[in-house]
Amino acid sequence: MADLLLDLVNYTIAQEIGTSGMVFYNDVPDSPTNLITFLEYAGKSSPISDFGLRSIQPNIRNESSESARVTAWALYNLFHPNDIEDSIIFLTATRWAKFSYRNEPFKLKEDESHRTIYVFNMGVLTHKDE
Amino acid sequence: MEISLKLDHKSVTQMINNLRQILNSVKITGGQALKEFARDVIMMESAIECPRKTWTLVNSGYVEEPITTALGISVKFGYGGPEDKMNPITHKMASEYMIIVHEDLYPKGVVHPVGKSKFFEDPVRRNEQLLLEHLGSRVRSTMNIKPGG
Repeated sequence: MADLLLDLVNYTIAQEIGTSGMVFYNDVPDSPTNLITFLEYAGKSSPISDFGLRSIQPNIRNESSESARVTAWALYNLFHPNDIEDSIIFLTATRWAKFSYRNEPFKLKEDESHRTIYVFNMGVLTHKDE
Repeated sequence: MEISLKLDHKSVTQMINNLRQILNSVKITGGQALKEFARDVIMMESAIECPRKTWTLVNSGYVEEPITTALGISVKFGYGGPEDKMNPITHKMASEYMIIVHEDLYPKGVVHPVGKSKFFEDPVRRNEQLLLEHLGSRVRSTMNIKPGG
């Protein structure tokens, strides 16, 4: 079963931005302290095609503010290679995705445990999950 | 046998003036259409989706008058800004916390009695196509062009 969020998790781990056990989706667990998680908000699906525009917010949490910032930018650049607007990336052998950026990484807040959270938003045009 | 078609200087001047008037009307109509859409569609839907425990954030919503620049016509609208309000419980200004409320998709320990995150972005994206149709309709109406014409 293809799942965009899971594909993003696996791609992030494969590209060594995060390691297994610290990259999640649809959840922000309290531990580990340092993590990356992919959250989704309202997108659009096409009634006449198998494509949809998904809205994804990568959420980067770290006890070090600087590490959170650096990781957020590494992730941002991962999906935005060579400064090419609307890049197409193959997340898996069968999953292509066209990324468009809605804003650059910014510090959202510090949580109750003084961990820094950076986020950014991106539109992801891809085929529907199976 | 030949026919010569000519436009005298007076006719050309008149034509340019007419085109300028049309352009001006389109600019004014376009600006008003943008403002109406921002106020009556996006901000209305956004107000419904905006967390409103104290109504501070909703009441900080604003829509400015259209501005014409060399690049086109724009209308600024959103929250905070000139209509910024103070939350009576936290004593923070809406502009100080609106980004967190809007962007925090997983606000641990925070329950919005009504409303949700992305209360502004979602209505904007949802209504992109409707905005184009609204603008087209208003501009066609100004130029007295029937649909499909």
